[in-house]
Amino acid sequence: MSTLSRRTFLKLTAFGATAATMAACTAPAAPAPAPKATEAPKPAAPPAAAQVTAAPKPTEAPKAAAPTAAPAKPSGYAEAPALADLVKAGKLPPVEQRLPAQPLVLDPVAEIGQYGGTLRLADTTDVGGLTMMAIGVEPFTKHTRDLKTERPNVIESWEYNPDATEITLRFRKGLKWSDGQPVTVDDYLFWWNDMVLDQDIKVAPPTEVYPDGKHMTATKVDDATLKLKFPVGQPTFLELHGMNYGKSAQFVTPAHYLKKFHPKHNKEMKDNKELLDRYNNRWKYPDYPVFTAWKPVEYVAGQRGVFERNPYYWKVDTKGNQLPYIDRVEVTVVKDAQVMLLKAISGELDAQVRDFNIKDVPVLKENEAKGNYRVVMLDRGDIAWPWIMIQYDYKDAGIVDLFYKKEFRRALSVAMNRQRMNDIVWLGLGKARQPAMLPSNPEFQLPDGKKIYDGYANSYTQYDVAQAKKWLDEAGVVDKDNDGWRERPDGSKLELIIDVPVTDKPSVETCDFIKEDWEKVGLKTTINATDGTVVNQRTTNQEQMLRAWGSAGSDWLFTAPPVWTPIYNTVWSIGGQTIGQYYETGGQKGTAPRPGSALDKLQKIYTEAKQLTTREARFKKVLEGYQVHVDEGPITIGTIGEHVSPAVVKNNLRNFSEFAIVASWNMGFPGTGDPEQWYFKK
Amino acid sequence: MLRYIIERIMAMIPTVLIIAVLGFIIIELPPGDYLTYYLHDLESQGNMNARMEIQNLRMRYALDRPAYERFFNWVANFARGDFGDSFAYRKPVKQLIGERLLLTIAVSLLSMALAWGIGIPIGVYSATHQYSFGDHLITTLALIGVGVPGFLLALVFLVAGFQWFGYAPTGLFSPAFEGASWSLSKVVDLLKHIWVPAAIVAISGTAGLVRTMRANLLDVLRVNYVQAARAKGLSEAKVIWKHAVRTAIHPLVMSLGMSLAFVVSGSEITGIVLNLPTTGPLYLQAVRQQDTYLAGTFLILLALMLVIGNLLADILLVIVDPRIRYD
Repeated sequence: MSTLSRRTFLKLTAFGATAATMAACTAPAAPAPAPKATEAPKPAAPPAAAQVTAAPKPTEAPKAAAPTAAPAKPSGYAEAPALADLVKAGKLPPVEQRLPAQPLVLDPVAEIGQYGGTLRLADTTDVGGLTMMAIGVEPFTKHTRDLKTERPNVIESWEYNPDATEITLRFRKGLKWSDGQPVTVDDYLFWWNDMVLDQDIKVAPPTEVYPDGKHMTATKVDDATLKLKFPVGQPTFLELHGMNYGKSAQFVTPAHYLKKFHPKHNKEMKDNKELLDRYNNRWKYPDYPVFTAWKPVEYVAGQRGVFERNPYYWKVDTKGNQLPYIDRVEVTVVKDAQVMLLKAISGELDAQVRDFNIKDVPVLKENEAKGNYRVVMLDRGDIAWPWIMIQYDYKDAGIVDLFYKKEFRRALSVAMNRQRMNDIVWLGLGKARQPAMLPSNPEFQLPDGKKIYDGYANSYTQYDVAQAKKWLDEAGVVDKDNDGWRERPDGSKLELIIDVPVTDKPSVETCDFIKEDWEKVGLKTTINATDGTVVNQRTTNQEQMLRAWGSAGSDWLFTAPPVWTPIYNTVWSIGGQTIGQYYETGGQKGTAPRPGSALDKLQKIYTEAKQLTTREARFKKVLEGYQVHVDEGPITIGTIGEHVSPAVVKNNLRNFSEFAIVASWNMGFPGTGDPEQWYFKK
Repeated sequence: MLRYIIERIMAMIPTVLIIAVLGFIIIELPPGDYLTYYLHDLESQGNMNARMEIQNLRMRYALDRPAYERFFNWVANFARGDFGDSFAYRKPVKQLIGERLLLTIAVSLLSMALAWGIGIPIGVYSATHQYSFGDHLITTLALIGVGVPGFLLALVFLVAGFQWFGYAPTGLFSPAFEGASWSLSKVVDLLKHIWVPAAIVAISGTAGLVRTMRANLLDVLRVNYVQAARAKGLSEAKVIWKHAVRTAIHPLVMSLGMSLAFVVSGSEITGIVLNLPTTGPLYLQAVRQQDTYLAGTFLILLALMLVIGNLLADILLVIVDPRIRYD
């Protein structure tokens, strides 16, 4: 880390305006469960951040502060006893030779740890996402523990040119794969040249490497230096490329190993099957070289996975002890939520962050002492769970006419008794709101930000039956045939149908309340709780009127824009998938938003916003978009958001960082909390 | 007899083939395919890239090909012992099922042995002591056993285990033995765990057996030859066990034929609740995820077991029931 020179630091600081991280956009101002909506981040670092060496104080320039604030280099290195034995037996080179020239020095969250122990985790359908979020998050740059900025990880330092069309990345020198082979720039280029650009393999690249449909060019300067050139400025490249375990953490591939399965390099390979299977499921192949703290040693499909410490891991603590502290990771696949709960309360899980329902909290708390664990309440960062997505592309034009009427949408919103939902579904631990971005987002820190946030998040959330009825009357939705239900303006029957995936318990419960609330104002409502795949099909086929989407995390403006503007052809696009498709295909396919409508305005604002090169100007433009939500809102309807998420952590598991945004997989928690420095206190 | 068996075996081949075709069609019927499920999974984790990757994967799994083509390719490979790859696990179906088959059979056989060993004597007692206190008690318990589904019993076991012993009996091994290779201590560990699922599955099975046995035996006891046997001065035990039960057990033997399929699939829901490494949960998940070849292979395996089981039951009947002949 000390290789990042002062000159670079100054340059990067000066560049801060454009290159500032999008990660900074999102972290809540304080780790408290419900941050005050209108407060800007205080200059003092939040408690968790104080434990993070690399995290700069918010008043400092972002980004480059991280590398310079690195702890002093330890004088010598120590290793786990089991590895020391192997070295003595001559089966492993000494620790100094296994570590890179400049190992990453990691300041523990609380204290220097002790070697040993087995970390027991659970995953839900197979060894996969949940596991990798804990032990597979090793991208180019990693989010700091407080999620405010980026810190060096696989790359030691980086440099943008002034318009951010070029970035130079310096890989950690002497970094090794778990089989002892060096990690070089070629390992990244193998992915780019032999897997993305190779027409026989065609791995789909992420958007940040082909902005505006033109892909980047990657050039090797030397074994440890890589230059990437983009057709347009990409000031947020590293943040986008550093998301969870699926971006650069995966793109740096063990070329020496994968070449054996590449049809171009090995004539015995007839197709790309073997190559893609290994590339996409690296944690299922015990021989796949990794540079994560633990390497896979055993995988039984759908049942369990075992990982052991990687002797070539390249991080040390401030005393020079090679990480990780914990010897083994054992992942059990648990397919039933009740069994997961049972495992937790019997103390069989050491650090389980995801897949507990808030309703589980009383049972979890009750058994804390018996199971010898603690329940940690983490931030979820949800804009709403669920948000009731209004599908403006529904195939029944009569319904769509109603959706385009402000009064109708507002009536739907104020007819909801959110207090009751919050109390019963979320034990009162959430907040009634529209699906606005989180108050800590940087755009809300601009002069008008607070006002716009307040208008966006808090409008039409007050329960008001009389007002709802009045607005419905104004929209022409009245009971014409005196059957107790309101009809459409043309007198035909009106039935609102909300699709909800049956596995999403909180959303299903919330929908039952919505049905009661809406029927109270005379709107016949049906809840269609069905399989998630079917719900998706109905979204895509425009067969869906309303959809309850659970856990919508707001993280970065430009990685998850479909939650505020319909610009992607995705099932979670606001306004409906085909309206996003219309934008994405330039009007070739999909459904056009009605001219002059809020959706139309939002698409236009996004087009303008993405062309702006300075962060400030972009945020201002985005606020214009939010203003549309304030003026014409709600465009899509929020229920309860900003809740907490229970995690179960054993009492003897130490150094667990409690700063998180759990709903967002992009952020990569608990990977961002450095599980390699977790340890079991003896 | 031999001719009859050969005829039956010949009839099995078209039966299993028809089941395979129907099964494949049913698995393909819901809209979408495994990848729509996979995409849903990825997109709900915020993966924007997933949609583009899917086209690639669709080609990788030949899901862009028409269904009949995939079916024939799949069936054509059976002769080579290749049952295709699972989409979800990206492993050969044969290997996935093979890994779990032995333990599944162990759990199923144990629970069947328990159910038959307990169910038949109790059923006989219940019939011979009709309307006594013991009969009423057994009938009440049996009706509860028939009425309560296995997975609920499993949950009750788990909660009870946790409440009183501070330990929830899930899985078939302790963590220490899960990855270990087979040894004497691993078998002992298995025996420590296997009784929970075996007992749970056996409880529902026992209850059913008791009820059937009781009803059948009551019918038989009213028949004249039982009277005749008694009149001849045979001991009551001999009358019941040698003459009456042998006839009354007839429908139960027929039901054994059905059980062979159960032996390889185990109890699906109970398996999920108890987190067992058996085939049941695998099958259920494969059907839910439209993991076509895995689900299809399972279906064929179950169909095969069913037809073989029926044949075996028919043969067994000749042995048990002297009145039956196949000529």
